[in-house]
Amino acid sequence: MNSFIIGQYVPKISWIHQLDPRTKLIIVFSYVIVIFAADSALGYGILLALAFLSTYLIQIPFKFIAKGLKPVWWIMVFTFILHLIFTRQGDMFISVLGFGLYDGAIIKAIEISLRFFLLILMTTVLTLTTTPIAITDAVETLLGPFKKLKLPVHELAMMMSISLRFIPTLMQEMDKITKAQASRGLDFKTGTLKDRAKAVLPLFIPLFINAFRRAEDLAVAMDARGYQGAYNRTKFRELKFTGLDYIIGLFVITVFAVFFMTGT
Amino acid sequence: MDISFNQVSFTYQKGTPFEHHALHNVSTSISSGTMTAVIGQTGSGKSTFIQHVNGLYYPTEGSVEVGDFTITQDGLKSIKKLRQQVGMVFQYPEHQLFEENVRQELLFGPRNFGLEVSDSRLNEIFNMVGLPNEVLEKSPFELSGGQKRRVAIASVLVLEPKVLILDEPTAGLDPAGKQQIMNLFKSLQVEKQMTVVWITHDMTEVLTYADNVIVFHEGKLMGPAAPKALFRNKELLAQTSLNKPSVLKFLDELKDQIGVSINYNDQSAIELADEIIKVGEKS
Ligand SMILES: Nc1ncnc2c1ncn2[C@@H]1O[C@H](COP(=O)(O)OP(=O)(O)OP(=O)(O)O)[C@@H](O)[C@H]1O
Ligand SMILES: [Mg+2]
Repeated sequence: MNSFIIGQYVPKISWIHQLDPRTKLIIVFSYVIVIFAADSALGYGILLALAFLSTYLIQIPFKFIAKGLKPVWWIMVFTFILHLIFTRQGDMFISVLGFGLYDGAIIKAIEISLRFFLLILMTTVLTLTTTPIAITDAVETLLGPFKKLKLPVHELAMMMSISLRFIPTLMQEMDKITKAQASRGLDFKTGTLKDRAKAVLPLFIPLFINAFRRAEDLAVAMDARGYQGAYNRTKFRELKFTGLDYIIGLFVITVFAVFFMTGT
Repeated sequence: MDISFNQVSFTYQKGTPFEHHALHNVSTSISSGTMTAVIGQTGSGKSTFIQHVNGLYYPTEGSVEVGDFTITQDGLKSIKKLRQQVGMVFQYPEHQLFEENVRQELLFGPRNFGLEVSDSRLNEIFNMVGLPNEVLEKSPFELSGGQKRRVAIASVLVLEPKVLILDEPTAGLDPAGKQQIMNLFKSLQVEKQMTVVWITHDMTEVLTYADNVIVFHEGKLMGPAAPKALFRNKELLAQTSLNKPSVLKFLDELKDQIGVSINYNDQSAIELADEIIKVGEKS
């Protein structure tokens, strides 16, 4: 069925799985910032090494990850080509049909695709090793201070976890509706573009209707159980930093700090 | 159309950490014009099995033959032709309705296959599934659950398939509705020689309607067998955690507690009562 893995969680018992979601979230967040600050071969080298090290540590076959990121490869190739064609930096060394190929463009193209790759890989490592619920919990806790500014942090987190919770459900539903309509002869793989666009309706209308129905049911169920938002709520699963979190967190933060100080 | 499975295995999400072997080396055949029940515990592979019949899944190993069509792991070119002849009704099919009125909903399939359906034929099918004609002009979304189910079933029947596959068609219907729907499938089998395959958890339904039963247990096939023979096979029932239909349970108890032994031969409740009274009078 669907092999696209962004946002998918794979239960395992690796080290990285056991880290506190807040630690992972902070690390990935700082990593992303560092990606955009990096501008030397050494810098990219370290970032790549970190990314591959984490990919290795999560004990999920790299082949599976690579396959799941297939659509992302295409976007990367596409960005690479766009940058190659449209960047005008450095010296021009060939000119084809009025388009110049500049040496700066090659560097830029590599840089942008590399950044993109690192970004996706690291966030995938995060979602592969952390349940959506844990990520939401971490977001809620980390945004906690903003509650003072009357930001509805709990409600936002709740909305996020509900949406994440229903993604697999919707995918299953989509799968079922697709098969049901295919059994009634719907064909969305051949035909003209217009035919194919029209073939989407019998899939999306029932999907949306079911989603609304489900949302309504959920709202009633939450009401019936007395849900009132953040008001005096305690948590069933308290997040707790362990020794491992401190060690890894410190290590990674140090690496990133050194990065910034030396300006690599 | 005859259906045959030749050493079919199926794996979900092959090559990923979520890999799941749902069918193991399944071989069986279903003769044209029979009514076959597919039973087994939740997760035993029933739905996976039936979805091979109209090519929604391709076998990971082995092959499936339906009439002149052969489906292997490479798929099937004439899949649309196959699907026209094999009608498939999913579990809770009411979730697939989408048109603005019921008439359009029924015409959706025929339009996809380029078939013409006359109004009188539409009405006929509508009456067959037990819906009054005025429902034809209503929106499918303002119907009750049971009515929606009937519309969904009708939307497959208009295609006049030779094989009818149903995934728990009676789940969640009221007792009278269940009986009505099952009688409809039986009459399609008897009068139109349709091959009917249906999944069910209701053992009384199996005993009443099935010519043959296919039992699934953890992706493996046990059977096929005739329903009465199956329900006599204590080891198989225990191994697959299946229950006997209530009539047979009742007759067992009768034998154990009062020593009255009566053979079950499709008697109705009244006929059974008569037999029991006769035995009582004799002794
Ligand atoms: N899309 C899927 N991806 C992975 N595994 C699946 C998928 N669909 C079903 N399975 C697994 O395959 C096995 C057989 O599923 P199937 O739906 O055929 O069971 P079933 O006998 O129809 O059960 P039920 O009586 O609950 O409908 C189950 O263990 C299920 O978890
Ligand atoms: Mg099923």
